[in-house]
Amino acid sequence: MQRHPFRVLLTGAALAALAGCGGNTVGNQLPPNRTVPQYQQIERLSRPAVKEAFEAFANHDQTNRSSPTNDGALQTAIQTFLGPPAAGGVANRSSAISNFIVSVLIPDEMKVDLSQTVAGCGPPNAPCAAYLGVETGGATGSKFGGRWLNDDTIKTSLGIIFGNTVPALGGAPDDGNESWCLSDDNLSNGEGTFQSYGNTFPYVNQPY
Amino acid sequence: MKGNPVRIVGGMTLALVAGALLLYGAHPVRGSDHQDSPTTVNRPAADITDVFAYQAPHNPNNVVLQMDVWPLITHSQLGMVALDPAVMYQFKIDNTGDGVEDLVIQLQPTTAGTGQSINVYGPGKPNETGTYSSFIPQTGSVAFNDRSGTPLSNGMKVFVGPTKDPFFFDLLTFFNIIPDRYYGCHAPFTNAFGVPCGGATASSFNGFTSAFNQQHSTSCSLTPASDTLSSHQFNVIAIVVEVPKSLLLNPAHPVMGVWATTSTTSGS
Repeated sequence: MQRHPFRVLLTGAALAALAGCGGNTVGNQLPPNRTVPQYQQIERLSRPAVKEAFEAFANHDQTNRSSPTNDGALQTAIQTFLGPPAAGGVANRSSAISNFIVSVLIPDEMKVDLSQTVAGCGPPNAPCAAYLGVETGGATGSKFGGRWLNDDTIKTSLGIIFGNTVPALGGAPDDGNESWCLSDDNLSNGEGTFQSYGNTFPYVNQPY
Repeated sequence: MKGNPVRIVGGMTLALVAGALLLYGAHPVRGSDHQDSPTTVNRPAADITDVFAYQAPHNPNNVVLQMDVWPLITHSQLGMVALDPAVMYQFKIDNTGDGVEDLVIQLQPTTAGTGQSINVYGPGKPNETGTYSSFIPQTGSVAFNDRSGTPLSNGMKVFVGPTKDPFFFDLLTFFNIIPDRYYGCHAPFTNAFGVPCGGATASSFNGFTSAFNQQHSTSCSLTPASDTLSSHQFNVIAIVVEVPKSLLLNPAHPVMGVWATTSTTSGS
């Protein structure tokens, strides 16, 4: 995998993310004297497979009922999962890699840069976003970020967690602890059933 | 394959619910966020499976926000599944970088069933931030499964309807590697998919090549990889909202954060 000169951008993103998750305890308080129906959150999702990869099923409900700035359970789960087996971890990554991943994933929001235009978007089946594009300074395809319908987010995520994506992007030194057999589910090598997408609203396909 | 004791609320007819329950419970797998808590397993129309955000293919001045709900819909279920009128569906947008929603887009169907109309609210400033919400002024409404994309008064286009699940992942191998991620390994749900619920029974994803193993001095699995969702031809209900960027853009902070939520007045 090639190295990319995005250390400064990534460090900036990490610092911004860390700043965003510090100290802000957004209210889960029921506003007083409301006369309109109050709805309570039961599910929350942004980036794909973050809860699934890092958090045991039993803890999902707590995360689902929290805000991006108030989801300590998810942050703890990410840090634990990325740590050594002796501490209950799975991935056995270095502190530097773990801290970098946490800084990118917390708070859990999908980042989209509305000042950017996705080059090449328009013809049928052309990508119109790039998962983690903002956080990686465009290394995943464009600085627009977001998530396109065919983005292989699992390949990207597994590469970050178990492969050498973070060192290759300059996010942290290589720790030599890659778990190569977990670094890709290999559905982008021709085994997966990728859909074709048109360029007219609503873009999604008819059902099976 | 055994079904699970799933309960659905939302005003469907008994026969409709029975059919949906049987089919829903018969495919207990999770994907990006498919079936990820007891609450969402019991209320599949509030179960968000994926979130997407992309530039509108036909117009670079628009951005498309999409949330998919109700995992694992089979072809035979298509006439029976729609959004849940007890649920508020919400896109939340942070355009100041503090992790707190500054704008929301809300949707709620007026009735149950595929003949439903869906009211659309916003984008606008939320009445509350955090995990409690109430509706902001309405923008318009759309019919379920109307693909015409007729713009609302603020220029937004909205589609709500069934689509092929876009998500792909070798789920079954993942569950064999980390079994506690599989909801069938947690009471009161049954292990209907044959996934072992003790320790890991796999240590490798599939689909690797001899060249890869040689490069990394590994013995990763050469068995062909497979995608559960597309190979079983599962569908979801997509909520697709195309919005002029100008309605969401904060020029002083053009990077926005997006997440999706579902909420009920009962919290269940």
